[in-house]
Amino acid sequence: MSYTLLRSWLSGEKSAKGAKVLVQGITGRYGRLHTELMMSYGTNIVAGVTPGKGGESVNGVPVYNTCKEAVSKHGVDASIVFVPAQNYLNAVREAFEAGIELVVGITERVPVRDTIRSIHIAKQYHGDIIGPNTPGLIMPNDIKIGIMPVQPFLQGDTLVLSRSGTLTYEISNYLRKAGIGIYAALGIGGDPIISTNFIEVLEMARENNRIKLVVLIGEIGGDAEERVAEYIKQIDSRKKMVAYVAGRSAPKEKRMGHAGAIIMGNVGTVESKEKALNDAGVPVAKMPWEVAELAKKML
Amino acid sequence: MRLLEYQAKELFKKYGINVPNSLLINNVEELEGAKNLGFPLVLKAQLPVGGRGKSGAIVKVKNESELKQAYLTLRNKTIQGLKVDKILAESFFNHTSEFYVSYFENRSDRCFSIIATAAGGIEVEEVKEKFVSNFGLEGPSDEQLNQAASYLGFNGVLKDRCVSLMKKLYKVFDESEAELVEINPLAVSEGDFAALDAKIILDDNALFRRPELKPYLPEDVSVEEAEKFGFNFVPLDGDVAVVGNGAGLVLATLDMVSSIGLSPACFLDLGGGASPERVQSALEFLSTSLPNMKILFINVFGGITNSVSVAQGFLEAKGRGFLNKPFFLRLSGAGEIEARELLRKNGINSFIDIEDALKALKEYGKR
Repeated sequence: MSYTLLRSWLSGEKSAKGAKVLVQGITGRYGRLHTELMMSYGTNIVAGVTPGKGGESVNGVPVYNTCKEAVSKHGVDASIVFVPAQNYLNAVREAFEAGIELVVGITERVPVRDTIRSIHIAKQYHGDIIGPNTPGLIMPNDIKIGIMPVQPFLQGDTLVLSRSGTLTYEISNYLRKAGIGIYAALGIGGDPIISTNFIEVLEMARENNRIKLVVLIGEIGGDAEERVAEYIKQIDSRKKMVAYVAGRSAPKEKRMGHAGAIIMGNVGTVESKEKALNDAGVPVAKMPWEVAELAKKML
Repeated sequence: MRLLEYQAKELFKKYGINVPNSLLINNVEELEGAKNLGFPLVLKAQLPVGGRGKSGAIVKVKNESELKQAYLTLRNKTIQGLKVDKILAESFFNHTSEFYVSYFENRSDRCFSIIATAAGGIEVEEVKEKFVSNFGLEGPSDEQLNQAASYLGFNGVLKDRCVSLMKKLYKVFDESEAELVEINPLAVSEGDFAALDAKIILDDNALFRRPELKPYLPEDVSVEEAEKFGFNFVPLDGDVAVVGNGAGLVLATLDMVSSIGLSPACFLDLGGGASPERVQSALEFLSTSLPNMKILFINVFGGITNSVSVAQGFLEAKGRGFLNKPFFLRLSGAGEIEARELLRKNGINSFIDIEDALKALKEYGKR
């Protein structure tokens, strides 16, 4: 079986440095801002797409009407999507049809049924989607395909996986202060149904010996963290991991900012996630700053 | 968005799912009409919460003489923190057995599922014996629905009727782009099915292309107001308003505030890249729309959001008199030095470390 692009990066088989990145929705406010910020970090943004805006340029990057044109002119490895939710599904479809292997979906408020459709398309083309509703992916010093600030992310050997943005920055900043660097930080997305989940990312990174620790940042809703605990017990018990789960004090049946952050009945509580992780030998910090202390002990 | 029972039942009726006769009662004057339903009848408080039976939100009324008193008693109740307002009067449906059927989005398997169980009327998570089957966007197959109906113990005509009902219910689920549709209990009496309760949770993100559902959306004035500004806002019962940038960080901040024995008054996420105007309107919104706020706790980790913008918005709000409560402000990350200097010049203390801000809040809370 051949590796997907994302897997080859996370497994350490291939460096992400210099990978060619396309920005879909490049002429919007966020598209423009983050094109500039990604470029200043060193990401190789080769083209942008906005239907009807072909021929323009953003920060020196040529804009095309379609992904197909952009890919045929530049060859593109990965795409980052900033288009409005109504256009998300079409944007993802277009990217994979044009032969792009990895799509990072920043777009918020995508209807669940569109996310499911986009997952089918990714499977069909043997590609990967990160997101939607994600801050993206950063591999310090190599690449940033995302919207995260760069200061908290020091290069190192820790893999940070998260369901949220700013909380990842905050915790990575505590890691930085403790001298702990990051191999890759990846937001899987804050929606109830997301494209690439924690376990799939862990599986991609399983054989990568450079990764010494995984920091898992979860939150209320669903059973993604419980499944990670099961994965650690059954499949990869060598992996060192520490976790933090937000929403200990959240009321039931209320969506707390992220569409996926909701306790339904008894499903999705911090208590359940914490217990499952502890049972799998994963310590769970009560407060964000305690993650760095736990990580230090582990390393 | 969770629909209220009467709204969900209206949708059910449109799709040909049988529900008992009922009348929505908004005030005591409208009670007169309920008598036409006949007795006994049930009064059901229309609240978006589970376990209404156990919490006294559903009352059986035997005859006309009990009706008004039963209505008034229920009307004055507060159930799970919510004041009773609308009440559904419904014919009592005499039945022999109760079942449970639902469709929901299966987060873990990234598809949809049907659940059916013969143990109707109780919380489904507590039921061990149940039929669960996954399917994709094409919907459940006839075979799956036949299996579900057989699992419930139906055969012959009743099985056909059950399958037909499950097909209609799937149509509701599919066409309203719901995250969940649930009938619990589904009652059976002499060959007839009736949905005694109805629960529908819609995918908020799909509402833009479902204009026909607009009339069903519950009105929450403060939440709507916040949406206009583009904030993510959840009102809560306590007295410390919690504000920050990014859902995860605000959620973690709620936990911090709760961990020192205080109780959050709201969850407010400013979103990414907040401008001074945005910060100012958030503070204005809180001062006018959140009467239970006694203290304000702000936690901003600058990244795409610049701390200087937050500080400017904060000063603007103060100048306009929207900061009339004690506040604790933590600013860290992009622009923190300049932002803190700007605040200090204006006589405002701020914190870099969240731990220090929390300590100060705790000290204040003790008084």
